[in-house]
Amino acid sequence: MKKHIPTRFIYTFLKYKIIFSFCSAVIFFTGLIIIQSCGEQENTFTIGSTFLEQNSRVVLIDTFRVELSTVQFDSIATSGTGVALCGRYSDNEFGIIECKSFFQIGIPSSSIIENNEVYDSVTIMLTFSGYTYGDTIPNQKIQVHQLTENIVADNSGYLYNTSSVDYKEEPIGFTVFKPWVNIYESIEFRIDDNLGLELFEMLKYNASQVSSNEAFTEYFKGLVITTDENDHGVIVGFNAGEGAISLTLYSHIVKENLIENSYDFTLYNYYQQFNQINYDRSGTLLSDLTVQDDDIPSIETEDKTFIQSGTGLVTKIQFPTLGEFLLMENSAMLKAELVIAPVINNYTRSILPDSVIIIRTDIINRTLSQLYNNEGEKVTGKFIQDDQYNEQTSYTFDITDFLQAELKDSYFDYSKGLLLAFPENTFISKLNTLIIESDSKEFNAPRLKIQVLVYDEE
Amino acid sequence: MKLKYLIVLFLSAISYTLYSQITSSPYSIFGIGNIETGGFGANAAMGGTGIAFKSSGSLNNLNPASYGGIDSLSVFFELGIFGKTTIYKTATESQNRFDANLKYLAAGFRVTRWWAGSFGIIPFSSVGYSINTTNIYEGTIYSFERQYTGKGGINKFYIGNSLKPFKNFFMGFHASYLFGSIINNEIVDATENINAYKITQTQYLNNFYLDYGIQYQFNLGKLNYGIGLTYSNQRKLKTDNIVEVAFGIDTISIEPENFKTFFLPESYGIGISVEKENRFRVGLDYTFSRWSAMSFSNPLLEVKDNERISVGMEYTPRQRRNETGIKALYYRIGGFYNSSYLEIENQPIDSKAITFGLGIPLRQDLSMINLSFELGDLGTTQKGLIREFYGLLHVNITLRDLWFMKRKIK
Repeated sequence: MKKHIPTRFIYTFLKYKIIFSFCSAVIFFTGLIIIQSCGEQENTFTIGSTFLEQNSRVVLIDTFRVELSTVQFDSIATSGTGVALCGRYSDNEFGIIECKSFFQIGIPSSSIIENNEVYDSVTIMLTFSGYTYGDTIPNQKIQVHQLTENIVADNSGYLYNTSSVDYKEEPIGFTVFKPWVNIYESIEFRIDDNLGLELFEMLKYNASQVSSNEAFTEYFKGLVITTDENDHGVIVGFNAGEGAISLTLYSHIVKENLIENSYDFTLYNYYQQFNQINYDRSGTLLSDLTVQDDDIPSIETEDKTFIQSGTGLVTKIQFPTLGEFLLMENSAMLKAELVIAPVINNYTRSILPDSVIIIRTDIINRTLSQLYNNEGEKVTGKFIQDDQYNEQTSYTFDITDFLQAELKDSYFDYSKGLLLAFPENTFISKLNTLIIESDSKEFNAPRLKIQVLVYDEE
Repeated sequence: MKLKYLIVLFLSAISYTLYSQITSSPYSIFGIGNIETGGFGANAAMGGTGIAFKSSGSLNNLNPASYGGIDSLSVFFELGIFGKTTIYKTATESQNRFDANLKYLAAGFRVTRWWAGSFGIIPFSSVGYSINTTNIYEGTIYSFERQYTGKGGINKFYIGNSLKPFKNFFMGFHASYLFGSIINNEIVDATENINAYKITQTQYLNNFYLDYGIQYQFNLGKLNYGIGLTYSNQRKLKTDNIVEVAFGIDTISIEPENFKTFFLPESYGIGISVEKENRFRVGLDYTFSRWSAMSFSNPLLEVKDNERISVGMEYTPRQRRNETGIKALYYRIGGFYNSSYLEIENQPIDSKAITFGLGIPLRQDLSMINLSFELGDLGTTQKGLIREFYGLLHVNITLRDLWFMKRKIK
């Protein structure tokens, strides 16, 4: 009787439902009051703060050095942007920049020319994209040349700002216009009639050269738009999408009435259209900057660094002393913000770009990838414009996720830098600039603001 | 099926007890938290008195020797829940909290004529606080909110034995396993100026623990007199500590070597009682815990010896077994004064309370629902400290069965 206590327990448990129902009732009741009480616990409770040993602190540290330099990309892909840049501009900071736009044209969609049809003229029509860079007041003379060489993209399908295609020096047409007047319109001007007649005859006799676009582009390599060598006030953009530029043949037939006809040879293979962007930086702070892997530190460029789209100028940022963060004991980097500001009094002449992005780079300044945060969003600079004093005007980048990841293995490789650039669509189709203050003694010096949690082990 | 049900229920009740918060007192931030008062329903209504009481109508775990009073036919189950509403007051502020939970589960029975035992799980200490502070983001003009929370506590699983070596004399011990964890969090939510982080400091504590007791019960005239003594050793709690700092997608884990260690103090208790069976009983307890031998790392804190004195009385007007109405009930009253081991900025954090309660017999007297009410206060509003006024309702169910008698009838 006194031996099998555990079996007897279980036996009795089984037998007495009342225990079961009691327990259930009690637990149910308890559950109810718990749920109720949990709701109440959400209120803020401030009493008791004097008992806390608040050993952890959150501190802003902005003394880690931010080193800036200017990098010249060897080349940037400028094909298929939909914009034909054309013109020349020079200033003291960026030197002389010259843009030429190369493109192919295709055959008219229908071209049944009657025997008694007479050639009149040939023109080219360009439509302004609305983009200008520089001074729109002076007149600009642009010229159209015929290519003597095919436009051939590289293996990856791109043409670059440095690509070049030979063309006949003698233009087949030119015009002079006032950019500030014409900027929202189209311009149409005469082309050499010898070319016009040649094309007309081909259409008329259904020559093999006009049987297909492929055959035509083999015969007629394409066109380039250049600017007169004496003009250096402005760079303008023309629309350069598929069909956006057209070479038009005009003709007429005399029957009972006069019938006028026209045949459009329009821009073809728009992804083969590209802008050659040449720059001559001699006489500027950047005159020594020639190859991509050799950047110029800001101290050699009067404590300024430069960004220019189109020519492929970017600013490299490095944090040479950030490795010391790893020596700080019991510290966690909660947040890291990079703040950069434009050089004051430099940007009144143009509107500051409202979007600046970050590209990861390495010791030889290769572009690795655009910087994303952990949420998968591109890291872009939050732009603050201080209209009143310009003093607060700056771009702030949240690079927390990048630095947390870089510091995670307890080693910081500072040669892994960041490049500041414009978003890709701007970078390859425009010539926008930004000059960044790099003087650490200036109030708007570049700063790395790190929010550090200093915790206590106890 | 029912067996499976019951096991699940019992286990979930146990785990529920183990992992739920049972206090919201800011004072529980210190040490291992608030030290929970022992005793079950009947004790609670009598100021927590019971060192000299026998475990007759219900279990009494204040003195392991008392299990000797379990009659040979009974098996006890004790289950307790409580609801506590507290007003926390400083010199300038006042805030309310309500806590409720399952508190303990225990069973007691007689094994042989000279040996009785009990086992159960009861809270030993509890931590549960949540405090918000405003802090400066150093180096800037900004400030941010920080939340400190603590939860957890130490549970005690015990097996109690009481032996009766000779007439009127009982000696017993609780062999316990103390275990639990205390989790202290520091939480900052992300705002415009601050990124979120969370520091979690988890301390796992455990050790075996022994406490002893003796009781001497004798009759003189129509009354039964009891005297009881209890003792427990100083004991270090084994600790494992982990600090985790979570921020961004990272978590830094540290296992600090020099972390707080905790000792449980040497403790003595003495109690006397006078009882007239099925009519009344009166008891007086005094316990002393040598906390002054301990040291706490908190610089705010001084520790001193803890003394607790309590009295309690139980009375029933019942004349017969099948009495009904108010005459069938047990009436209890008591009170205690506890000079806490905590002394903050030279202010003792003492507590005192009055208790009263009812015992409502069920099922022909075998089982009983015990209700007890405790009205008390703790602490002081001096020196920026907190005074807690609380009302506590404690519901206890003593299930008692005459198992062995049933066996005999069969």
